[in-house]
Amino acid sequence: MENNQKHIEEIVKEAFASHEVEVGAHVWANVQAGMAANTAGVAATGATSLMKAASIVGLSTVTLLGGINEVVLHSDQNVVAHNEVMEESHPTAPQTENVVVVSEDAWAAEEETQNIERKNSNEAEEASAESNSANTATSEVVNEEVAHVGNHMQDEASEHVPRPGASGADNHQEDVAEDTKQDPKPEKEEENALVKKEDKDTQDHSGSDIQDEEAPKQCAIRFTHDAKTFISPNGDGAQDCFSVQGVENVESFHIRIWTQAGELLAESSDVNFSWCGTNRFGKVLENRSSCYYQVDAFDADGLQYKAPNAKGHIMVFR
Amino acid sequence: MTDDELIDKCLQGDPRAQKALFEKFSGKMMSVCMRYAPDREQAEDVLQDAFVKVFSHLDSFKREGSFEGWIRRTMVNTSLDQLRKKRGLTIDADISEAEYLAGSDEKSIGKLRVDELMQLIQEMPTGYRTVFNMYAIEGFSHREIADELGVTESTSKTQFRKARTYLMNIIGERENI
Repeated sequence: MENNQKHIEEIVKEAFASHEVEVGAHVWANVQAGMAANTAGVAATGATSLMKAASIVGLSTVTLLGGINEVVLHSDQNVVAHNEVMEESHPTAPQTENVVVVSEDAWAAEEETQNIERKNSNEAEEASAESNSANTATSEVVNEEVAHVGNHMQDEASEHVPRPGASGADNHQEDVAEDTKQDPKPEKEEENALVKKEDKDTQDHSGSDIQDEEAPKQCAIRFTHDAKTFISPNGDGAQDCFSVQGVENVESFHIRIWTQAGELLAESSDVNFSWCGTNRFGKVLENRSSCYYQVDAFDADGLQYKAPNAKGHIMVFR
Repeated sequence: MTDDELIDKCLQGDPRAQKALFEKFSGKMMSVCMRYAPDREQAEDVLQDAFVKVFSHLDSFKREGSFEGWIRRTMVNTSLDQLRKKRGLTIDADISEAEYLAGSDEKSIGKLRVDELMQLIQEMPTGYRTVFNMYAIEGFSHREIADELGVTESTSKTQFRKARTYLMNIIGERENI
């Protein structure tokens, strides 16, 4: 039994060693607000609890514009049954305290109010600036939505730390890049379809729809591999392994590969990293395993590479 | 960008670096906070409080050990603070110990997906969960856990043993369904 028990600790420790959980977009906004409160001489925890308290009364929205933080408190009357509207057009403020904002809604809100160049690494600042205008009109999120999202913690979407595998998006190969970006919840398939479509539109126009407030700086990185690909690791020299292609101007690089279920298979900070269809322990994956990768790459200016092939799908054939 | 460069830029107040730092670690740290908190919402609260601490105390990071380890420690400390504040950290020693069920062994736990494991850990009683996390995953000694939680060393050991039994029982039950 002793041996058995030791195993449990090891297995659990190993399982969590590189485990990641998606984080809602609002968390970063709250952290920013907390930092701003800090510099303003207010204790961070105090600010957070203040916002918490406010959210009980009604709905508080944190906005950030040009480095100036303000906490906007909305009264109860703003919290209206908003579900139908959301179903149709997803008007949701990107940063809303105490409300789990699903990123697809946040994206949609951004796209609706104004087209944003989403490949720009400054999307948070943009989104915040954006939300300032969005706030006045539509910043309500129904509590029901919170409960709904809460029930699907593993499925929840996040634009920043997607665990594509957990979303069950296995059959959406045709637009995997969009899928992983959106990390759709299976419960909202129709909505997703709509959002994905909008996504595509935005991407098609990439380069032209740059937000006014931000300097139009493009990430200098260009990868040339396909977002959707396959490998057949049988040693015949053809498509045996996957690696990121066309690496130029990369200052910081990190690639992660997951199974469909969200198990981390491999990660590396080496731009020449090549993955040949095994898990972390060298075990060979089964035929037709569906895997996802994400590359976090930054150029010398700290701009993140966000083109469609920064994330994608790898099918393993044996 | 290395961690060091990232830290430098953050210390200069570069908002892009701050966001990059957050994005780099938030997923892993959310996993840490989730293990200590009873639900996702509370885990997010802790995560954001802890990140505010990370940024405001960044200058006190000595750059000797691992940066990720330092952040992780901040997450764990903030999680423990939160549990204390919510008085959720009362350790009741009197949950009777059950025997292992037949058929539940280490192989069963190996078959679980991480998210399933996460759910099982979140559903544990707070005392079990906290000690289990600290000892099995974070690698604290029972002495350290005792100091941190204000209990005796033997309570920490007992709690851990019970937590382990509890976990194995749950896994055994799931298997036998």
